[in-house]
This record gives sequence, structure tokens and C-alpha cells, in this order.
Amino acid sequence: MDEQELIERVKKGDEMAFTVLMKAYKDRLVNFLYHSVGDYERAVELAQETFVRVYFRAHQYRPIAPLGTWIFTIASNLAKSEAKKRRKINMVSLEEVAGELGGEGVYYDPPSSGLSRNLEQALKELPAYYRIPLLLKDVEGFSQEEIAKMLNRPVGTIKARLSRARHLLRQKLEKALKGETE
Amino acid sequence: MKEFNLKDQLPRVKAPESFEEEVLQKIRVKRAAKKRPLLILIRIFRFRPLLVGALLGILVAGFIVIPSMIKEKQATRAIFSSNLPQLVKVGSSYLSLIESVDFNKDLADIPTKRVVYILEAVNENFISDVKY
Repeated sequence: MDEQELIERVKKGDEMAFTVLMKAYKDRLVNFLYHSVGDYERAVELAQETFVRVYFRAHQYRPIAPLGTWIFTIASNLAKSEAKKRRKINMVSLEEVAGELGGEGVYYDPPSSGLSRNLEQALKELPAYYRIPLLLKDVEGFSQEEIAKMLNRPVGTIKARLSRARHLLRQKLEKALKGETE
Repeated sequence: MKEFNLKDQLPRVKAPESFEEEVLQKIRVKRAAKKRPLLILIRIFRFRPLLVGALLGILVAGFIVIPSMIKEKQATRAIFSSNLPQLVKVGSSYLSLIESVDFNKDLADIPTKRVVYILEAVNENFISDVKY
């Protein structure tokens, strides 16, 4: 069953079709939201909220864009709102979260190498308006045009943000690696 | 510095096993919450004869009873507030037929819940003050 057929069935309230849709996207969404907000439990909640919105707004979906783009648009908006909220409150460090996530029943692969750890930390330090397009492009594989539509920004802005995000990430990594070697 | 690949280098997390069930549960809760106002409307609709009766009562009170009460009150007030006696022309002079009297001021000092007898002169030849 293809995605268009699935969403058509979801529009009619078919829970089985919706479960198939969730199975196809849940891990990608949780992973994207986890790296966007830096909190596994919150990422799971946001991913669930994304699917709740997909279910109730299925009738709004128009097949002019792939279904994945639409689902990630909803998730990106939630990630942006969460980033705004988090800017105002004290955030728990990613190391603490990783420590908490080490427990049983949590689906988390701890960073195996120093580079991975540094990369995760550097990514977390990026502002959300750089981090989210970068994750959508380099981790989720969306095109710049798709990201521009998702984030409701001109393609030029997205290109500039991606370039700046990579540059900042590289700088932060170099700084972290220098610190490790000293 | 060598190029890094975000997709390969970043640790990946997965959704918990209970993910789908939790989403479906949230959907059921939200659907029930959405249906609540509809249920209230249906319940209200069941009592429509009562509602129609109440509505008619309100309309009757609003358009007939209350305006007539207001009119009556206004008419009474108009009589008492007017200081000018009603005059009827008889030949070349005017004769006072009814003189409006406002007892409100006179009765203001009298304690409430007491019976007040107002004694007025009925004989036109004998003029006396009003006694009460």
C-alpha cells in the first residue's frame, strides 16, 4: 500500500492504516526531534503530538508534496515552538540526559566515538534556526526546496542557514578536538 | 579537518515499543473531548419542547408583559410629576378639574409597614387641609 492510499484511508478514520503510517515514520521523527530538542522523553511526546495532528488534520493534506514532507513540517513547527519555550527555561545538559537514557527500556545508542559525542554537543549548542534545517538536510535528506517549504522561508535563507550552520558546527568541533588533545 | 557526516556520526534514537498504542490512546481521548460539546447539544435537543416553552415565555415577557408594566409605571409617574392642574375651558375662564397630588414627599417621614389613612375633603364648599 503506498503512502497516498494510506493517508486516504487515514482520512476515513482507518486506525490500521494510521498504525502502518506511524510504524513507517516514528523512528525518523523521534530521532529528528531528539536532536532538535535534546530531550528523549520530550522528543517522544512531540512525535506523538505530530501523529495526533496528522490524524486530525489528514483532510488538510494535499498530495502536492510527499507525505513525509508534510509530516516533517508539523514536526518542525513543534520543534521550533519547543526551542522557543526552552530558551526561556533552564535546560538539562545532554550528558545528564544521556546518563538517564542509559536505563532499561530506552531506545538510545550512546555515542561510540569522541567525534560523535562532540558532534552531538556542538549540534546542541547551535541555535534552533540553524540546527533544524541542518538536521532536515543532512540527517533526514530533504532538499533545500523542501526545507524552505517546511519552514516557510525562502530557499536563499535556507541555503545561507545551512552554510552558516555547517561553518559553526565545524568551528565548535575543532575547538572541542583541540581541547581534547591539550 | 576531515569532513564529518552528520547522519552517520550522530547517535540514533528510536521510538519506544508502546509508541503507537500511546498515540492511539491520545487520539481516543482527544476525539472524546471533541465529541463532548456535540453530546451536550444532543441532550439539549432532547428537551426541545421545554426549551421552546422557555423561549416563548421569555419572548412574551420581553415583548408584552414588561413593556405594559413599564407603560403603566410611566403613566402613573407622569401624573404625579406634573405640577400643573388639568384645565378645562368653561366660557372665558378655566376650571381646574383634577389637581395632581404627589404624596411621596409628605409620606417620606412616616415609617414603613404602617397603614396610612388619607382624609380628603369631598365637599367643594368646605376647604380644608389634607389629613393623614
